[in-house]
Amino acid sequence: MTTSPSFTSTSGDEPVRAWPSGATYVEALQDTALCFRGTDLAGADVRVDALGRPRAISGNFAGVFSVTVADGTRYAIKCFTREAPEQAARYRAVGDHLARLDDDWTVGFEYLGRGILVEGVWHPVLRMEWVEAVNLLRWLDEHVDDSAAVSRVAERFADLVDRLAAAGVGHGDLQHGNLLITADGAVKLVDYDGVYVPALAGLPAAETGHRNYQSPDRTAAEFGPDVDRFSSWVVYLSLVALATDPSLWRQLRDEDAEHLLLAESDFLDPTGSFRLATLTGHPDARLRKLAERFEDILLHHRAAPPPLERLDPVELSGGEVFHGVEPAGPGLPSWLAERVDPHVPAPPPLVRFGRRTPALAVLTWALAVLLPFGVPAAILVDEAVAVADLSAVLAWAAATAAGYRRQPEAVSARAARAERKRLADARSAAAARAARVDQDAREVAEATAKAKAEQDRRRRDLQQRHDQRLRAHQRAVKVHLDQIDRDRQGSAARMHLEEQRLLVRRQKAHLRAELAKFRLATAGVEGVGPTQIANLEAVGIRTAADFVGVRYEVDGPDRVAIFVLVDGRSVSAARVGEVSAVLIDQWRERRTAEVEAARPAALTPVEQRAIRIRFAAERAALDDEHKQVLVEAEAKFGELRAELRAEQVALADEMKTANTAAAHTRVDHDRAVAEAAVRLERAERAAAEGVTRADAFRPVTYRGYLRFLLTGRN
Amino acid sequence: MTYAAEISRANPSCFVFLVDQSSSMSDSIGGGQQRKADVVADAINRLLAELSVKCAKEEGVRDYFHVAVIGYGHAVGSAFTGPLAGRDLVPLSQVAEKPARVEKRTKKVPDGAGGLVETTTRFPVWVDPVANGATPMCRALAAAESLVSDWVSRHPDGFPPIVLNLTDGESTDGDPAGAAWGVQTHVTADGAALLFNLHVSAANAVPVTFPDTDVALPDAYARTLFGMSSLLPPHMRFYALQQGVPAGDLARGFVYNADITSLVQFLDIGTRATDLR
Repeated sequence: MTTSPSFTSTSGDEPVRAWPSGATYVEALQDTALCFRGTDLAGADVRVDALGRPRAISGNFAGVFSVTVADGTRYAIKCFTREAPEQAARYRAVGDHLARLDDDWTVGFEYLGRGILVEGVWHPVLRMEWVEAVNLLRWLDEHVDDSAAVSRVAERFADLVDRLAAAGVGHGDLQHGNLLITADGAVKLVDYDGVYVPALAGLPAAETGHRNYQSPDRTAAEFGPDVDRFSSWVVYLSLVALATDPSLWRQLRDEDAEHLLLAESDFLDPTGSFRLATLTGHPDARLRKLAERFEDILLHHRAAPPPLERLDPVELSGGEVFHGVEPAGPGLPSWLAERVDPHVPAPPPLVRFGRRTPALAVLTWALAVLLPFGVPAAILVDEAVAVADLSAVLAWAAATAAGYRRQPEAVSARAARAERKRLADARSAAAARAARVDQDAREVAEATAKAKAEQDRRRRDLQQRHDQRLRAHQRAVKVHLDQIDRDRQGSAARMHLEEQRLLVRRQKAHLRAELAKFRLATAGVEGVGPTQIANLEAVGIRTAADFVGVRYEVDGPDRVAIFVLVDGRSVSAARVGEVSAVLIDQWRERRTAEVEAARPAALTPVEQRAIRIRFAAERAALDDEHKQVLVEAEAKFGELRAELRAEQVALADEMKTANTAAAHTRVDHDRAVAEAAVRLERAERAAAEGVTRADAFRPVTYRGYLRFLLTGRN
Repeated sequence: MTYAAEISRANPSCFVFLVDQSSSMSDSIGGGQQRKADVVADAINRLLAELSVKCAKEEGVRDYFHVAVIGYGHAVGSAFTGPLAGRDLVPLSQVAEKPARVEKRTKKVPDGAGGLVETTTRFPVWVDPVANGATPMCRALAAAESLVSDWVSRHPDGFPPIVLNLTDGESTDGDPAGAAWGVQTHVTADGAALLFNLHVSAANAVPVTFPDTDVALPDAYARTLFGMSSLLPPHMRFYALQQGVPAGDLARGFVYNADITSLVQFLDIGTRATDLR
């Protein structure tokens, strides 16, 4: 750490551009000879992580890298990942202003317009001196139980706020990450991206700061020396509270939470804020007062908070002893000196009676001596004596009781016991409440689980309904397509049949035509002479085509040959006997076989085309129908899908709304559970302290008082 | 106001990356030589590196996010290789510490003086390119939904989970729209889970980044993915605009053949979502 910060700037504003990302800078910084080429950082060592890659400390607008040059000087190099308006001009103005201050909270920096070469383009960097320090959160994690150290940091922070105000400077983002605590307890303020100096008057703020430190009303328009007022209240109140009661660190924040004791939600809703209520209801009066003041600011001056009102500065000269607690070392502010370690008090000494009333003492002694005579006196002397005796005793009892009640120790004891009872009741109430909210939270969780199961069921149902509709649709389409396929097959079969029929007709015609060429007259069938030929011609048989067969009928002893003509008629020819008929039929069959061997086996192309054309129209109609069914099916499928999507969207919206409400309820209940647990813890501690305090009054009882009256001893 | 919750260690959020590992991913990306699987694996590794840097603080990487990488192809499951293999949601600090390996990659970069110079960088690898099997996108989205559902029940007050699906678009196990809506029904008090899509395509079409309508998209897959994508929350739109990416009121978390690593730059950690300037 250098002791004389310097602030310089070397370039004008860069034009608007897409900024490299954090990982892009990490990549570039792996070659510092290249990325810092021509600058005095060229070839510098970059601190790396476990993977050997440059190790970043990232913020929302930039990443910071530790770079050590040859002479051992270590710098923090800030590389910007988001646009910041008028960046160079702002840094120049801030640098000029801070250089004139002689303050130890500043860190030197230099704005380099040509800072780092990334993918061939130069980008600006901010080169800062490296500060060996930890941020306020990490520091508190380690030191929160050291109330003296915390209170010193609170004082130093308040000093820092004073000095910023005196210098007319607004930091703009006072928060744990920008408040660094060095080993010797000094407070350093880093990150000057959003700093206001008088030269920047009129500009808007470059950033609006950390959500857990800023007024919800803050806008970029607010940019001036007062810009840190709200955040300084937040930081200071937290530090004072922690110095007073370190247990708040654990009670009011989750481990690793990125805020001190208060956060954005407390600023947004101060009346509903458990954390704020814990501070304003704290047993410690000074803390309570400071917290009430901040609550007042939240309720009435959130947009324009007043300057920080710090508690009395050091006034420890008296060395006052309070409740037997030794004051802390020098340098502690008075508000704390009174209660260093108040949360582990030594048991207070027992309280004793201090003042004995002589008259009552004498009376007591007198009665103690006279009392034994009361009963014998009533028996032996007179009842009146006994009555007097009894009256004296009663009077004495009344007097001592009144005396006891008037004793200041007894008054305090009564108060302490009443307080003990009150605190015990409060603890019981807190325990009951914690149990109740636990139960509520369990019920909410069960209801949520049930609702989730119901949602799953509805989604499944919707999907199933859709699947069913889809399947029904697909079935209907299939039935239709199957029908068309059957029609196509039927059509093809009919066409085939027709072709076959035609072919058969053609073959028959061919057969007849060819057979007609074989005349019986020229056939030379054995035993068939001109007479038989003439007789056969007479019944219409001239050629092999004229008859199709022969049968024989018995007519007495003879068998008569009956010719079957083409038209089915049966005829017989005179003088044509059985033997001749057999030969004639054999001739016909031979000729038929010859002709059939050469018959046409297929239709001619012309015939075929004629048939095909006739069936093509039918086929095309079916094809069209098929196509149409597919198109309609696809359209219907699209409709169903669109319907499903619409129903899904509607259901999703409904579920989203329900789940959002459930999430809010869950959050409220979780918060209530956590708060109830803290309330119970604090109530238990208060009750235990009440018992301890009341226990100090153990000797202060009526009996003890009587003994004291008699003996003067406690 | 939604999408305004603080992202912090006490209030972390989660990222679920879905990586298409189907066999079609072995095709080359539109107009280029690179396989889609390589492009997508590179994008995931860059996103994880970017997220790690974004969440790095003095003491190391903070668990602002828990991260799962689910691959879908011949199976649906963790796509991590190396020490994280088989894990689903992993705290970011462990992701940052445990890549499968750190590759040394050599490339030529401009030297700022008009020339090119060779430089070597260390590139951590968590996910290897895979191209094998079908594209069960519905199952992948259902797996994401299960992680998201469990996450929001444990973090009802946090920034909603972000699911980023990197794919070449064609689901083989049904219409992914329903599963996509399912993811987005899981909400925290800060808003619904966000589903963003990166579509890598073999078609040589003009890259599209955060469109607000699907008219310019080249195919039905791209339009379906667009329809499944959440609207960009306002602060992300603001940062997109700041980076010179036009993003209208209805811009969706969808990019086509374009870089999506910038998404990490749009996240606000700790500070308020700033769209005031």
